[in-house]
Amino acid sequence: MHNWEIAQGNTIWLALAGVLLVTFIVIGLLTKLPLTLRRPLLSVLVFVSGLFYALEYFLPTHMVLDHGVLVPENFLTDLIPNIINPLAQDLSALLFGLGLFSLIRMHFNNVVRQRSGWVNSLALLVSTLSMMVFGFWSRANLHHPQWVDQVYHHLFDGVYQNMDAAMFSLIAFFILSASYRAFRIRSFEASILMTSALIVLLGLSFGGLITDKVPDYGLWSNFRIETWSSWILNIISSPGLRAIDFGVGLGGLAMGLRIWLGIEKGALFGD
Amino acid sequence: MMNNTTNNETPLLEKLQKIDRRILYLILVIVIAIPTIWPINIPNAPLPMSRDLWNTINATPPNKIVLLSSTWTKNTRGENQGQMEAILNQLMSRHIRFAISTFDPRGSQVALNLVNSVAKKYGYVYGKNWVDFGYQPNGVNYVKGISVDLIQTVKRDAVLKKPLQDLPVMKGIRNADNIQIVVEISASSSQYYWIQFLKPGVKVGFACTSVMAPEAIPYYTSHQLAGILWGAKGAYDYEQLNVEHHTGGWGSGRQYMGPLSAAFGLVILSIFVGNLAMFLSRKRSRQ
Repeated sequence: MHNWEIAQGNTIWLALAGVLLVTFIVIGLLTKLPLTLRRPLLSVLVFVSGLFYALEYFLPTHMVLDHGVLVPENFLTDLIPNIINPLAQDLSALLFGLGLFSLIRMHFNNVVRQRSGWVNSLALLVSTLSMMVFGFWSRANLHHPQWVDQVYHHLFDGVYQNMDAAMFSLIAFFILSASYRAFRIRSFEASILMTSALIVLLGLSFGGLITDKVPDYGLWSNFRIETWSSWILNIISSPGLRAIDFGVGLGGLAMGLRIWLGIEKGALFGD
Repeated sequence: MMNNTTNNETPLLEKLQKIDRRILYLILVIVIAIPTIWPINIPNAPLPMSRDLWNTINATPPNKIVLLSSTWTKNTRGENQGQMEAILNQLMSRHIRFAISTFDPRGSQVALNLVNSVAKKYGYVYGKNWVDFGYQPNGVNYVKGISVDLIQTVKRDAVLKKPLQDLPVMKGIRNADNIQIVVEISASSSQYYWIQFLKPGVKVGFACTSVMAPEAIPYYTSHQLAGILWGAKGAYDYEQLNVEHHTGGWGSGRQYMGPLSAAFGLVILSIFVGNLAMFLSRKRSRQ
């Protein structure tokens, strides 16, 4: 978002062109470097980036009065909103750009060489470009004609959003078909699974209709389906998920350390 | 005679195990269409996790704002739209200042459309009562940044492109200490950004799709999440709480509960039919 600061003037295009030029030069130089130099260079960059967060998190803080509010800070904390955050935002935007460039190049080649399914590629290119043009025109420039907004809203709200919703709603049909075909009780474990699933399903939908007459207070509340559903979720399911989370967390920590220290195979160009 | 009966019934049992999926699809369409056209009211008891979220937002003091992180699009509008609409009704009827942001590039426009439609009802003015922080592509840095300095991290609002400190809605708001609660309204697991990186002590709520809720429950029971809205049921819960406390009316939460319950009922019935046919078929083959 901080890019909008320069978007107010005409310098935006110059600035963008300059940033892109520098980026491509850096990437070009990086790819020309021999592997023996490239890997140590990237390893150092990754290590320093990771080290920043580790130090910022673990170094002791002292309370600083910032605009009337006491904030715990160390000497690295201020760098986050002022330098790290804008830098990371720009890197994210650049990655989007690279992805878009790769996508357009691939589908443009499909259309030019009329490979099988090239019509789909053409549809993708037309949709992408029209959404980009009207999206930027409508959102980036405050002084634009009214019809630009209308076209953008027709494309986004009228076409894209409804197609998105329609695609997602197809899942309901697949869930029904799959539950009918695959959910068969062939073992004791499967019967426990199905009973639990049915209780939770009822608790989140029309279970209230079945046990509506049962009081929701005192001992009687234990006979309501919602109570059974909550019990399964909080007492049975939650500890299991917590155990999985611990495992995933430890795995993530190990993987993070390996990438940070540059010892993960294949993480930084080649093995 | 016995043989005839067996021969007649066996194909039926086999047929019941192999119903054409197109017939199932047709039944589903009918089952969902009926309660959509003729709405039915399903009795509801709000979950404690919904009630906790409602209470936390309702307790927002005048010197704090609520931050809604709207990371959903129309593909999950059946669940997330009802949740966000109910929360917005509560915020606006209680005159609570709020901000929106998103981790999804499409979420910004979706959130703006919804807020604008609800804001008309309550006369909420952009810049004075609410503000849009826009799309935030880098979740970790955004959350860490606003924990330290919200104004410096976001810099400008996403609609008027004005410096944040110039907007009346941001008066007295500097960092995460001035946020009563962050509510992540999402179809994915983007609540982890807030749980992991937001300044300790700032409350986080999660309004999610049904499929994402079970993995969020451990964080609710450990009080890292102040409350959860569980899919369409969560939206219905919140609307019910709004109606009980006169902070909003009924919306899509209650409206969708009928079709959703009918669809769940059909799923349960289809599982039952498939298993019954399998058991009877096995029994007959053993005989």
